[in-house]
Amino acid sequence: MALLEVVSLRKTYRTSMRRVEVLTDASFTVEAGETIGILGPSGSGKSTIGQIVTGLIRADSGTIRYRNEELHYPLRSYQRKEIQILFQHPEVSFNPKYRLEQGFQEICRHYDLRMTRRELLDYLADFGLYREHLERHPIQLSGGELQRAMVARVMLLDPKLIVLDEPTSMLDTISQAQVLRMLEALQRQRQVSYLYITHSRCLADHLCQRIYYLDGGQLREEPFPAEICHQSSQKKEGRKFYHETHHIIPAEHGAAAPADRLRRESQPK
Amino acid sequence: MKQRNLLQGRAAAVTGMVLLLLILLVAVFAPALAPYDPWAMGTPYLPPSSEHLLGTNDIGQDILSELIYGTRVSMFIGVCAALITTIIGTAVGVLAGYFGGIVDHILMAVTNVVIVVPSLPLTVVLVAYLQAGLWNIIIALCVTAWAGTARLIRAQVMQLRQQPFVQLERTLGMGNGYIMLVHILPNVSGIILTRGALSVASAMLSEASLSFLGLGALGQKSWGAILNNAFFRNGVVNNCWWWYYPPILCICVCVVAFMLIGSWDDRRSRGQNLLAM
Repeated sequence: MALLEVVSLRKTYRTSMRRVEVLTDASFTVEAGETIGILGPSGSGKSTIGQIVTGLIRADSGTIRYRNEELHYPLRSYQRKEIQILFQHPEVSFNPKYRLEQGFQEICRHYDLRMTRRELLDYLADFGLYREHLERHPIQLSGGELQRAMVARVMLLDPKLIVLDEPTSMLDTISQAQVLRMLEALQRQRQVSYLYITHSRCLADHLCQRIYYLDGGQLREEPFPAEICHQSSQKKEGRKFYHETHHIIPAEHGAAAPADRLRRESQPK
Repeated sequence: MKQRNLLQGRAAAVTGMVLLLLILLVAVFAPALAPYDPWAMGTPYLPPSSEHLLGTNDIGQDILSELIYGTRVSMFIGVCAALITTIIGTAVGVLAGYFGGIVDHILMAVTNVVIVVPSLPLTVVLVAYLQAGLWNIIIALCVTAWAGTARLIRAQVMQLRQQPFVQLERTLGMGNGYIMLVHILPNVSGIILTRGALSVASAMLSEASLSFLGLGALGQKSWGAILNNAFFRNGVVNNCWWWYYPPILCICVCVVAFMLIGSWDDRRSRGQNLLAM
């Protein structure tokens, strides 16, 4: 039984001037603990799929079944908690008016998670975040720090499916690697599934078990791994960065927490 | 260059606040400051002298005292009307901008109708039908004044709503009311405050116009009412400049004070909004 089953999703954006058919017949499945990739050119509707799955926008037609129950817009109860999203722009993923800590307190209050400050700090240490991060406003933190904080915030809800909407495309290569490796480690620990939306074929190859290509409003499963990718310079570049970062963040074996690694990484001086 | 603009903007707002503070002090300490009871009658048509600094009117009331007490009435009406205006405008703008769709259509249809209605004539008609009490004046001033604020806030909220942090609050399971109050409102607080200050200025002007037309609050000596007396009780004909220039000046100073405060450009927090990425 698939965790998520999407059948012939359809979505048209209408403005007073014109209508754009973004999705005509998009179908795909996500198994538990699996990462699937959705690739496609800009404006092809990749993000639309992610936002429909997370219940941010309503599809025109089509069915989405999550754990064999149909999803209805807007999502409620356990579905709302278990399906989450990470966006491309970490710098605007937190309300600019509040300190980072308030973003976490809000979640604890809303879901009645009884967490002392000490416990919160212990939890955040696994994500390479410390007291001084909590006391700052988003504008005083880097993109990588914010995206890690966002991962930590979302993980408080113990989600089962996370839509990753180009979560690292605004980050420098080192932060990118940190976030992606953190996500991989979390997947091993918690059996969470990812729907990875990206432009980058090589990152998708690296992370995903299956890849769909979105074209003309339909998804087709790509042969995997792609042959063409080996020749493209993008691939080489991607490989290069991924290997260059290996010495910074040693590859881990088994299901060890990302904690130690990141702690070493971003320990304040 | 940018730095200089910032300082200039701040200097204007600070000037406005100092002016406002002085005006408020006058309003609060009116009984101590006013040399006479504004209702006490004496010799009419006295020109300014050491005894009556701004002379007297047609029934011998001290004009300086009238002006000092008038500060209370004019300020009260202006501030109350602006407060109500801003609350209604903000509520309509936030709801329309946040929910969009049918809610937006309905609220904006109402707003647009209110915007195209000529506001002074409508206010005049309203005041004529309502009894000319203080609160009825305030209500009449609010009926049309909120629309501009609503449109401005709506535009800003529509932009904010698309921001990832608002979307994330939704996926994190927060309710719409909570998101609007805790996440949207603080990000439009700059506009709300500046619009509020400008609303006071325009409400005071409207009140002056109404009072001048004789539609002000009955028995209340606002600045507009003093002006009305000067015009319709032979002040202008007798060339009693001490009677009609001072209230005009008071209204001007007050309006300028609020406009200067309203010019406060909250650049720092606008930068934090990151609306322009």
